[in-house]
Amino acid sequence: MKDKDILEALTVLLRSEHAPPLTDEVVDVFLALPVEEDPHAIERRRANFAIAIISELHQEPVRKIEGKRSFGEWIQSIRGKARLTREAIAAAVQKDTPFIERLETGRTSPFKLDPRDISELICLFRLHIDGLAQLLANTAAAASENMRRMGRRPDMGSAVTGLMDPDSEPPVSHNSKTVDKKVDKLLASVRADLRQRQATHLLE
Amino acid sequence: MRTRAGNGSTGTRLLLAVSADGIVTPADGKALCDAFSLERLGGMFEDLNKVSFINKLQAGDELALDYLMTTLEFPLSQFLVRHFGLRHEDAEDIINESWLKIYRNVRGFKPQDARLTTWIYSVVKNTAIDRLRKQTREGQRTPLSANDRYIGGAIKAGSVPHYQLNLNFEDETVEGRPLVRQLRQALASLSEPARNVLVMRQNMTTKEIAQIENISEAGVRMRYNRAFKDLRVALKKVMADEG
Repeated sequence: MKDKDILEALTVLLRSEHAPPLTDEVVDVFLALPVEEDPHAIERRRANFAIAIISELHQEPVRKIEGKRSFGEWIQSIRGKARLTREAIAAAVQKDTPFIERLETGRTSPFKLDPRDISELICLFRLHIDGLAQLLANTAAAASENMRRMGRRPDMGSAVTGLMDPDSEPPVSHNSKTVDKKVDKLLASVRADLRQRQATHLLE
Repeated sequence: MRTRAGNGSTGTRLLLAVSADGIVTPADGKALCDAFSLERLGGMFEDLNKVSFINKLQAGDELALDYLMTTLEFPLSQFLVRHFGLRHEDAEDIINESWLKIYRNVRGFKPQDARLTTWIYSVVKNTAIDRLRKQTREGQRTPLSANDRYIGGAIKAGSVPHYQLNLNFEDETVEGRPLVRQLRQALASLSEPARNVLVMRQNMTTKEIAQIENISEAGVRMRYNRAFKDLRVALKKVMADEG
């Protein structure tokens, strides 16, 4: 029997399911090989992983929100449930990590965001427009309540910690009609963007 | 692209185990083979195999999971490219699929039964085999051939010794190829050190093995030749037993 034949057969065997299991020693040696790292590959992997995990978690679009969580708080809670880092969410929506952090902590209000960024987020999290409406209403209500507690008039401008950006537009009025208008306006922009993306499963 | 030395944070080299008779020398080929049970490289990815890290992973710590994936994705990709001759994009796909399996099953992993890194490599390897087999069945990939990129890749990576391969497989399954089946038995009868060197030599050049193990290339060749000779002897016995 020629060595060549044995080697051919060995090559086939070691690439099949019948190969002997890899031992710790062999794996350690493989790990010792120098590798070339590509930072773009890391970002791709994070994004793909986040998309896959959240798709498994939310097989149907989320229409109903439990409790009075704000938009940022909800994002943070789902991220925690999915065991994903902020880096992974940021990679999936093509933003940086501080963007996600500011959103989750409430330092950036969703009312300050470009509607396209909101669409990107709700596509990732498979949040239905109805669910978004609830979250936006919760966010606005929480901001108004915060303003009331601090005893400021809505037209005095903002130096509010917590829910509103210090340099943002004046805080949301606690007048419910104004809040509704603000929410509706943002929802209309997000709807338009979702239609453009053909993300109709989040609109129906 | 950045390049990272894969020999761990401490830079410690792998050592050969000392035989019962004393220090193993390259001149003593058999002893070299028998003593080939690698001492684990101190510090190399040991953080991933620590119980404290595994506990964090199993508790759902997202930073631990991300650290695991970031640390291993390039070595895993390299392994797939070398072992199966895959393109990097295909390797990335398989690793992504593997991470989902690992994510779902890591809570059931028992550190007392296995090392985490070895378990992960096995998941990745099996995912690759499943994918490749499925592609072959669906006609997206022809059975192994010398021109097939995954054997070609292995040859190109220098992981196959300088034999002129003339592969012409019609059926890549073990059952369809008596020699492969017999070889499986023969391989199982070898010592673990001998099996290890045959596996490593499929994926690495002599020079790479020599560097990692801190021995000469001649030493690696001697070790490999010894293991191959043992394999031939074991194979002859299997064939004789089968009549």
